[in-house]
Formats: sequence, C-alpha cells, structure tokens
Amino acid sequence: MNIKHIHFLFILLAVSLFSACSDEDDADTPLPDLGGETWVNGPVDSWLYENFVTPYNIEVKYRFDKYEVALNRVLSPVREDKVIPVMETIRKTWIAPYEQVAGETFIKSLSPKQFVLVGSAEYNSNGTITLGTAEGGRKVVLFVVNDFDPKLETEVKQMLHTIHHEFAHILHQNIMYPEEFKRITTDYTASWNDFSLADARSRGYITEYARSSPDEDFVEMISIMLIEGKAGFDAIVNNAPEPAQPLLRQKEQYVVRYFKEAWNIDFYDLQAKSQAAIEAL
Amino acid sequence: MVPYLYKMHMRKFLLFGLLLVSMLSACDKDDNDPAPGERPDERLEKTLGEYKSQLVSAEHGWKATLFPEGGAGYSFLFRFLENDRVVTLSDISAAAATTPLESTYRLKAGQQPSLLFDTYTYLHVLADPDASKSGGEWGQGRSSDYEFSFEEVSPDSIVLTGNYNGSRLVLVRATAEEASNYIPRINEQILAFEGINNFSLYFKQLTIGGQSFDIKVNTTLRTITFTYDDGSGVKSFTTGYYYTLEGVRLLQPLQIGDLTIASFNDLEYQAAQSRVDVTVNGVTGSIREASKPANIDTQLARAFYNNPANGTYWLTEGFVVEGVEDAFQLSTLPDFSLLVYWPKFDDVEGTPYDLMGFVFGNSIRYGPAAVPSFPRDGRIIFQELGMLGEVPAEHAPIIEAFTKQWTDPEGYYVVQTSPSTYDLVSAKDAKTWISFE
Repeated sequence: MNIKHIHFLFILLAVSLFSACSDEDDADTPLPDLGGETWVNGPVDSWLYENFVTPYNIEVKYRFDKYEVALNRVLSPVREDKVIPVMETIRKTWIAPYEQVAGETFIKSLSPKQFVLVGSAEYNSNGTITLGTAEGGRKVVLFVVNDFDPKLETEVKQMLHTIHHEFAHILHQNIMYPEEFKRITTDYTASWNDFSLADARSRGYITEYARSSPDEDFVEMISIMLIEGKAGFDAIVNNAPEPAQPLLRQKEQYVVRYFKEAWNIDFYDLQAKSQAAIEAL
Repeated sequence: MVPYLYKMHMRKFLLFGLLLVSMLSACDKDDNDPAPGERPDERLEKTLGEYKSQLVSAEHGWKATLFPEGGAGYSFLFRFLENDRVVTLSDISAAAATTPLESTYRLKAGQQPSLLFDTYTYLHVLADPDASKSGGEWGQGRSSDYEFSFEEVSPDSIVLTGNYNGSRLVLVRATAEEASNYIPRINEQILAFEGINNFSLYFKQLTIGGQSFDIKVNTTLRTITFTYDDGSGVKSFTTGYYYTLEGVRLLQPLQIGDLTIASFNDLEYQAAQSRVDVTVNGVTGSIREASKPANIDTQLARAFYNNPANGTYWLTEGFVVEGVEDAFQLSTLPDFSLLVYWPKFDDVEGTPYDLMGFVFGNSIRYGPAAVPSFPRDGRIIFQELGMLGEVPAEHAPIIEAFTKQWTDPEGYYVVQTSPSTYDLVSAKDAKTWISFE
C-alpha cells in the first residue's frame, strides 16, 4: 500500500519537475462523466442557482441519477414542474424560520450540502415506504416529490416532516442529545410498523416510526412539534391516553432544553415561526 | 461499443502517458505520443455527440414503441431538442395523446453509451413504483425502463435496451405528417377497440370465419386471453398487445393448427350493436358481447374451489352489476373491509359447506354459508344453508340482497383471469360478476 503510494507521488513529482516547458497543456482535459454533470441550463437550473447555491451553497439535484439513490429499488424521476414549488416551500417553511431564530450562519453551516429529489417513494420489502434519507449530514434525499402540492396542507406537512426529521438527525449527529432521553421510554422495536399510531401514542411515542429507535424518536419529536405547532402538539398530547401524556411531555422538555443548550435556540420561538410560515403559504 | 475495455485502456494510457512525460520531458510532446490519435474519452465523447445529433436531427421527431419487460407495448412520439429537452406524446392515456409534455434527457456514458430520460414524462408512468400510477405492482411498476443503451443505430431507426429491466424501445424517424397525426391515429384505434369496455355483458366473443373464441381483455395492462376448443379440449392463451396504425398487434401470435392470429385490423366500434368489427388475416370478423362463454373448461370450477390463492380462502370486494362496482354497497357498512370466500369452511353431518365471510376491521363477523355444487356444464352453484354469526338489524337489507345474489340458483360460470385470480359470472344474464384474488 505504502509502496504504491510513494511510487505514484514520485511520478507526479517527476512530471512537475520535467514538464516545465509544456505549461500550455490544459491539465483539466474534461473526461466524460468525471467532471461533474453538464447539460444546457434551463429556468429551473437558474432558479436553483439563485435561491439555493448562491445564498446557502446547497446543490439541488433533480435530474435522476441512479448513483445517488438505492440501486436495487424501483424509483421514478421528478416531474420538472414540481421542483420549484417543493424547493420554494422548503425555503419558506424550513430555512426561513431557522434563519430568523438562529441567525444566517446557523443554517449555512449545518444545512445538508445536497438535496436529491426523487419523484416516487422508495418501497421497502416490509411494506413501508421511505419518504426521506440523510447521509452523514451532507446529503438529503427527498422522495414522493411528484405528489407534492403546495396548496394541500397535508402534502406540505408531509414534505416538511421529512426535512425537519432529516435535519434533526444532522443536529444530533453534530451535538448528541442527552442520554436520559433514551430512557424515558424503552420498548423500542424494529417491527414498529406492525403497530398502529394509537398504539404508539399510548406507549409515549409521537409516531409509529418514533418507536424504531431513540434517534428516530428524538427527531420525530422535533419534526412533529415543528410541523404541528404548539397548539397541534398539545392537542396530540391531550388526546393521548393518560399514562402516555407525561412521557410525551418529558420528551418535549428534552427537545426544548437540547435546542437551548446545544444550539442556543429558543425552540418555542422556532415552533411559532414555523407555524406562521406554514400558515402563510 | 466495448466500453469496459475503453475504461481499462484509459487507465493504462494515463499511467503510461505520465511516465513517458516524466522521463522524456516532452517539450514537443506531439512527436513523442506513443499511440497517436483520439483518446478513448474523446472517442466516447464523440460517440455520444453523434447519437445526440442524430436524435436532434429528426426535425419531426421519432415514432417510438416501448415494450416494457413486464409486457404489452406503448406508442410515443419524441422530439429531441438541442437544449437537452424532449417533447413527448403517448398513447398511454387519452390526456397523454393530446397534451405534449416537455421534460429533459441526457446522453451519458454508463456501462454503455446511454440515453437517459432524467425527469418525468409519459414514459415513466410505466416504470412508476406507485401502482396507482403504473397499474403494475407496488414498488415495481410494470417493470419498465427510462435509461436505455444503444443497441442498433441506423440513419432512420434506433433500437435501445433498458439498462435496468431490459425493456425494448424502438425509434423510427417520423415524417412531417406523422409528427401531427401518428399518436392521434393510434388513439383512434384504441377508442375503437376499447369499445368493448362499454358492453354490458361480461363475455366477449371473437368470431372469425365460423370459429368462435372467448376473449378476456385487460385494457389497462393491455393483455388478452383467448379461450378456445382446438378439438382436443378447451385451451387458454394469454399475451400482451399494443396498438399500431392498422389496429391491435399481439406480442405473441395465437397459433391453432394452420390458423395464426397476430393482429386485429380495420377496427370499427358499432356502439348501437355492442360490436367491434375486425379483420384477421384479411377475413372479416367481429367481437360481440355474449351471455355465456362459447368454450367452457369444465374443470375450472373445481380448480377455483380447490385452490384458493390465499391457502384456504379467496378475497373479494363484492359484486359488479352492469359495470357498477360494489353494486350492493357493502362499503357503506361501517368498518367493512372486504369479503372472505372460504371453501370447505366446515361441514354439517358430513356435507362440507362454504362461508362468504364479511370482514370488519380484520375479523370475520358473520356471513352466509352455502353448499356448492358443480353441474357438468362447468358452472358452480351455491345453495343457501344459513347464516353464521349475528347480522345487526341495520345491516340486514344489504346482507339479504347480497346473499340472494350469491345463492342465485343458476349459479356462475368460472373464468380464470390470471394464474391466481378468478371471476365468477352470473349464469342468469352475464351482467353480474364477482372477482376473487
């Protein structure tokens, strides 16, 4: 391994020493498909450049690239006319509230650097579908973009649910939430999808998926609290069976404290601004 | 056309090239190029460029037929533009046939030089894993493709193969006239053939030159099943089909002795007579509705009874009457989910009986029990035995009407619609049927 390495370095060095007189050569001869994707830019590309690349350094990849997604799944590309509505909604309802509460640098430094859009959901063998994935805080894949309708609150909330969920993963991958959160409820299970929402709530989980692991529980809490707002979240808790209510409240308090202590963010302020943004759509 | 080798060469060239440069300090490197000529990546780039200019050069676009790996075939008209955009029409739906949709495409070197349709257009509907869009399986779609490699290229035609499922896409350069009327003319054929969907009777018979075939057509998936008697018994044959300017073409022809049926041409829908006129091999014939099948496989009723798709039971959503689904409005019963037909549910004094269980939530609450019989003509008849479980008074009218139909004394003809699905069709008038899966 080392020897190869040295060998290669040596060759490069030799080139730099001896090829002094051929400096007109363009060292950047583009190799097909190794120099990034190129196509004739259209209005969607310019819009994304102005609204995501320039201000936030976020790349939005909407043209289907199978190497960005699971190779063994059947997926469909996005409809081009869905790209701007989805991304505009994300900007208004996800980025803007964080900017207002946490300042501009917060989102710039922590936001995923790449959004990959997929038209359909990803269908899993256990009968569930995946709505979004986040990889190492760098890339977020958003599914079911083709069903998005900015006028339907359920659609907006579902999309936002995914983003808040994935972004919350990025937050706790940077600064971990307190260990004690993992012990508020302890019956996490991989077969979470065999149980109803009512069942999950009765055990102190905000959603079915929250029951899959403490990490998912934590980010589902954040996501639901942000998309439903204070009133909506309170209603969920108050309608849950009585023994579950203090568990959900305890989790809520951990989330609020985490935002304050880890990121110096007033969670209730963020929650109010997120709600206002959704209602203003 | 052997791109894997290209890649290997490319690497060797790079290493080799670097070494030479370093040793000879090539001030005038053109003279010292060990293998003069285009580099592999330049050749690849050139190939992709040539494919693109050929696609774009067809100013009236390309007529195309896509044969998804999952079966059937669909027609398209693609006009590829220089700016990496493509305008599409298709016969996949009435809307797609009249509303052009613009999307993007790319030529890209994957394992092979490929044509990628990288944002959604009509072609992607077939590959959509959302079954409500593709009509296929959830998570699978119709096993179709939207990324293709070039197989054969000639000036006026291009054959491509899907990179994922191996579907076939055939492009043929269109004329100015075809640019405006190719898809509309195909759509006329569809409207004529799909006149059969307006028939009120279940059975459809294709008659050509005195020979009658029962046909069962799934116009969503574009499959057709022929049931016929070739002298040695009743047989069934199923194939996908697609539309041409002449009519319907079968993916696999039906072969019976000397007779080959490969297409139905000169389609004309006669609405008033509930008839579609066709020609087969130049011989005039017709597709008509019928109140009973012309060819009955008398074993089918017992096959249905003895081999429920779910081990011991079949699932159904109830009766269709003259095209109206859930005609007895079972779905209006609060919490009703579906029906379970359970052959040989139990027995009374040694006589096995069947249950048609009404499922609420996920448990059977009640249902009529009946004893089946199998007359020699291939029917199945259910004789009412009684009710298992308690029927709430407010459910009674619906359940009585349903049970009366279920135990109609004339019984049902049995039709196999796929390896694991059956229809039972009321023998009384063929206007009422029920599908099992």
